[in-house]
Amino acid sequence: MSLLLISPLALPLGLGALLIARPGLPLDRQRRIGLTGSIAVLGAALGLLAVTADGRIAATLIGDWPAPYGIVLIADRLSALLLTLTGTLALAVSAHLWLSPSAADRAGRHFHALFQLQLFGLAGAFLTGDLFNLFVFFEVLLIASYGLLVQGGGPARTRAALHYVVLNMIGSSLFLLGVALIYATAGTLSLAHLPDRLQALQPAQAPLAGAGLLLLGGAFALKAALVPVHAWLVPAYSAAQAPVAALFAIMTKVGVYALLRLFALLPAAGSALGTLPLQALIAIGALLTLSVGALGVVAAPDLRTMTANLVLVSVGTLLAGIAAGTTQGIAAGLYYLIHTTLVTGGLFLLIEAISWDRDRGPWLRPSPQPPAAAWLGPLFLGGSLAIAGLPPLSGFVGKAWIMDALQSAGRVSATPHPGWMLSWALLLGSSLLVVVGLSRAGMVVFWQGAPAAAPSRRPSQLPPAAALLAASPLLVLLGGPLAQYLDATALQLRDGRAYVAAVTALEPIEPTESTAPAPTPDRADHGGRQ
Amino acid sequence: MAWLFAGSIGLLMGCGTYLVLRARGFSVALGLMLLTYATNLFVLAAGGLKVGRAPVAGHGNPVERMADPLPQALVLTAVVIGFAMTALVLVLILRALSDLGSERVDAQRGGEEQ
Repeated sequence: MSLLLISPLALPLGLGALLIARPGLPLDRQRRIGLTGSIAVLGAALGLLAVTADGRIAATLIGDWPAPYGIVLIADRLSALLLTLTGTLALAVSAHLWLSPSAADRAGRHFHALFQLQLFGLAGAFLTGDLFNLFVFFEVLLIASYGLLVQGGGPARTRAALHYVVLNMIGSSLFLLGVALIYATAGTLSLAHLPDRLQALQPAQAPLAGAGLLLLGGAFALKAALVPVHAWLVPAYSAAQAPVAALFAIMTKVGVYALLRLFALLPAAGSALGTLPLQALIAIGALLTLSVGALGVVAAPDLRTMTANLVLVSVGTLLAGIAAGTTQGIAAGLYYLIHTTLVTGGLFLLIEAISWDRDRGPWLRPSPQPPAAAWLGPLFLGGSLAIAGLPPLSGFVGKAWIMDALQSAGRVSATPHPGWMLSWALLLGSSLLVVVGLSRAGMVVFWQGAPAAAPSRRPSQLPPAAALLAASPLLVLLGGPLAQYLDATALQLRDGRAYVAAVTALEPIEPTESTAPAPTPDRADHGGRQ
Repeated sequence: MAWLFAGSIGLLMGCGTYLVLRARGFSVALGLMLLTYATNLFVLAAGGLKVGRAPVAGHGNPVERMADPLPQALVLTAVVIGFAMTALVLVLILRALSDLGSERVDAQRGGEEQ
């Protein structure tokens, strides 16, 4: 079991290090190594999915310090699910790089090394069991993403990267301040140890811990690109090369994952936060995000900007479900998360193929020569139906589920909630705007201009994009079992007892010597300091 | 000492925020550095302000007289990450200077490719 937990970290890290050490490797071999790393992550993730499917929680100690002081890698259903999603997306992107004659990885020497390090950071963020290592893995994946974003060069990328780096550095500072406040008051950073400690806070320290939790909420909202801290997303995603942008589709979801873990701490943090409704604040942010994103979709001058705005819409939609706080809301949000990650990833790859075939590239202006490949049009139509939330594809199922969850949460919950009717109006209104924007784009791209006589120049890059988009009907067909699984995931997350029990049950392999006790700082002295 | 420490962190944080908001490449880099320093000092203070205590027990230092070692380990990691990020931001700002022809972080020239 510990092998399953360590391999999704160790393999990409090792392959990344190998690629950095041998920069002169032929591109072909680099691509093959990249594909190997993605397959390894997906394989380990599927293993974890199987191990945790019956509700067990896989956990292991790194460095053999006793829990909860040592470093813990832990996978419950939620972690395994998100890791599988990461592996699937990474596999599709690696396959795209391998199959396509594109030059996405040709411009920079370290593209594949950065890609592996990004996988390492993503896997670490999903598997770590404490807040500080979450910070470290966030930094790892961010540093890799800075490198991937500027691949290919050009002023637009430099500018987007500069904004992205500066904003994320400020976000990291907020994250660290929150971590410090929580450690100073609760005396632990382990996610399994925190609920206990937060419940036992002294009244004088509760406001400080609350401030720490709010700072964490702010930092995670920045990573998830919630309004008002969303401004980095659209320039960065539309400037990045298509395979990079497709991989970035999982990055906002890391923020969502961290928010989910934070929400799981909230019941224990009642004294710390007082009456401040953190979840309701996130819900309001989510509704604003999907409105701003929908307006952006209509206003977008080119296909990439439009897809980047679709990412904003989907983050808003799924967080609206998750922030409802009920089991149903979390399960519905997770369903939408799977759907949107795969479909937006596929759309980014598809748009690259469309742009190659057009004289005007991704720009939404009539081109004398529309794309000729027979499959581009139907795939774009399918992807649009899925992402806009029209039946019979998964976007519709996800949105209907989220709306149902919002309605029942609005009826039952006593906590302040922006009102399910307003949420419904915004969700449906944004869907309408997305439909309008996508129809306009499809008409301009495919119907204006004379059809070309020449067949498509690059037929071989479509399978990975098509496979990602085909996930949408698959998610509908497997809807029943998947819904049960997600319900169980949400229940496990909200319950939290199994998570705590899994960590406390961990025993070091070597028993600690009696002469040298584990360095447990004197918390009584610590707590009474102020 | 607590007041002095808190005051310094506040001063660093304030100066950092001001500089970041000036939106010129060099000021932003300097501001981010100050923000990082302030954050690191804050993390260090999370273990409690104690003078003359070692973070390691044993060797004549009893457990009840040791300083909390965890924030010191955390801050070490944070210092390394902050250092690397500062270097990266400086490189990006230099790159922006040559690509965009301006030191301002929202420089427009050549930003739109049509």
